[in-house]
Amino acid sequence: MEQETPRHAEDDWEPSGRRAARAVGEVMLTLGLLLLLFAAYAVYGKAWQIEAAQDGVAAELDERWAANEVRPVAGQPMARIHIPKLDRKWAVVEGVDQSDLSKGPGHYPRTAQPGEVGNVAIAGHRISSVFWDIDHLHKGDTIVAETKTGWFVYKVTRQRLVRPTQVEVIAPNPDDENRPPDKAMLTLTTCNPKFQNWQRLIVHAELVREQAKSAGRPAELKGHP
Amino acid sequence: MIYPWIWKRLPGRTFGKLVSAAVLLAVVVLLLWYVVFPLVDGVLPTDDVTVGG
Repeated sequence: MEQETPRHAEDDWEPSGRRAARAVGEVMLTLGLLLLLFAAYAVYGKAWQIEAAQDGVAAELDERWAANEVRPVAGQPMARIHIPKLDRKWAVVEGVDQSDLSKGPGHYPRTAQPGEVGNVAIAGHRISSVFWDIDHLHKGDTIVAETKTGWFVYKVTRQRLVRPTQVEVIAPNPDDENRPPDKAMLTLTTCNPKFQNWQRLIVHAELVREQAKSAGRPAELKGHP
Repeated sequence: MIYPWIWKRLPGRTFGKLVSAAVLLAVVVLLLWYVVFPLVDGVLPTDDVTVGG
């Protein structure tokens, strides 16, 4: 064991310049560690928290369907989307506020419901547990929306990068916002580049077919969760 | 010189100080991770994913 020597106040004395330098060093070191930790949170922490929240939201969605509650309620899950190419599915929450998006992808209020003519617009964070990889979706890739009663198979028609102000991408008719919709579309929005916010990555898809829940899972989801 | 200041005030001798420093560090990290960072993240425009908003 080391011997503890009695200390006097003079032991702590050092020239004021060195004292100041040590203080600045300590503050910088602390800020550096804080930033690193925050970066870890932004990359992993948030993704884990959303993944954990999804478990609860998915169960809630099944309960709502079992109870025959299909009217969308803000903050409550309203549908499920599957992207077989990415081997992923999510329960989608109604609303696109921070609190909604902290539970998973969110459905823009007042945009179409799955299967309807119009545009089902869904936003999600660009993190590993949500829309990180949707830039891998290209023309012809499948996105399936699942409701209480049916499966709606959409095929990607277009991927584009837009400015954050281009709200026409979620308009009922994203090809021409001034004309009424004539197709059933589904649109995903997320941020681009990753961890930055000066663009939005948009994936448009169009309904190609639908089948009732009673007809079983669509062939497109075979071998996927 | 906040760290020497804290170290001096931690209870016990070297081992006790190490343990309490670890506990203190864990509390600070958990507070940041679960309370402060989610709040900060909501304010920072690092991951805006919607259009028009």
